[in-house]
Amino acid sequence: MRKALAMVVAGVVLLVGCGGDVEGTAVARERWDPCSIPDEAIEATGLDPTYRDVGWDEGIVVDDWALCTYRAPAERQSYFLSVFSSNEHEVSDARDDKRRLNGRDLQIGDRDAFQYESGVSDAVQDCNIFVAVPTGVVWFAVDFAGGIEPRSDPCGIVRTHATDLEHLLPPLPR
Amino acid sequence: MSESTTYWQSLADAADQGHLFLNEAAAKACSEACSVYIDKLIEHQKTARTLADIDGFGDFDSGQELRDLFAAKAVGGEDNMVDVLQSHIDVVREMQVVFKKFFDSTDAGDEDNAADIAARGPK
Repeated sequence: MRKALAMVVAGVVLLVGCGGDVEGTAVARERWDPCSIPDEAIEATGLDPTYRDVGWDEGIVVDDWALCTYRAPAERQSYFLSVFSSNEHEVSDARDDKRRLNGRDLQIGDRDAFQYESGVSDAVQDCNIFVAVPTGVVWFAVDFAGGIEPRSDPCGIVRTHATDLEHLLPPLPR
Repeated sequence: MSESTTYWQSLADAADQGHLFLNEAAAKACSEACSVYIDKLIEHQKTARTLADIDGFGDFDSGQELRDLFAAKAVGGEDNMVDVLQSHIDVVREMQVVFKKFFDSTDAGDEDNAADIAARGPK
């Protein structure tokens, strides 16, 4: 009996091993790396390809979110585009949080997305988009910091970048 | 913080009236240091802002100190991190205005301004 059971188990393991591609979604989701965006794509969307800040600053630990920060050239007021990725959160986490200002549902490519502003401080003008990926969520944030007045709407800017970079995100299941 | 701003504004006035002098190389070095520092503060400000959003997800279960520093205070209130950093940025910008008075116009090759400064300089 025990031997029979062992063979069944071995058979299941073998099946799972072969069908890995098909059954892969049942396995723990691997977090998409926001630093995997190539310089060419950064330049193509109008950002500075020579600026790339990998991860969180020293002393700051945020386990749930991977981060890569990009920046606009000086002639575009050097605003930041932060790209975050999490396999612990979903678009709905932002959508359901009533503290997010001017929340708005939208589509980026074929993906479910949610746009909001933080309104944390007058010194920073921001706009954010949470975009659904099979691995969780990718969050695009545009920040005009230092008290500068944006020449164009941060929400329009973040939508443009998210749309330009959408094809680099983990593809939706068909 | 407005007190510091006033202090540097008074130094700017002193420079305008020729009561304060700084050599060009030193002023230039100080101004460049200001630029680097302002940029660093702006980066931290951006980080503080996004951490405030992340705090909304309850992702700071550990790291209570960090939460207090960057996020908890960042949602409204006079002491929020983003605003504190802005007041630092404002002061450093005032400092830079003073330093730039000692080389800006001559460097830009703007002779009218250079002449103007010379005319108002120490006699």
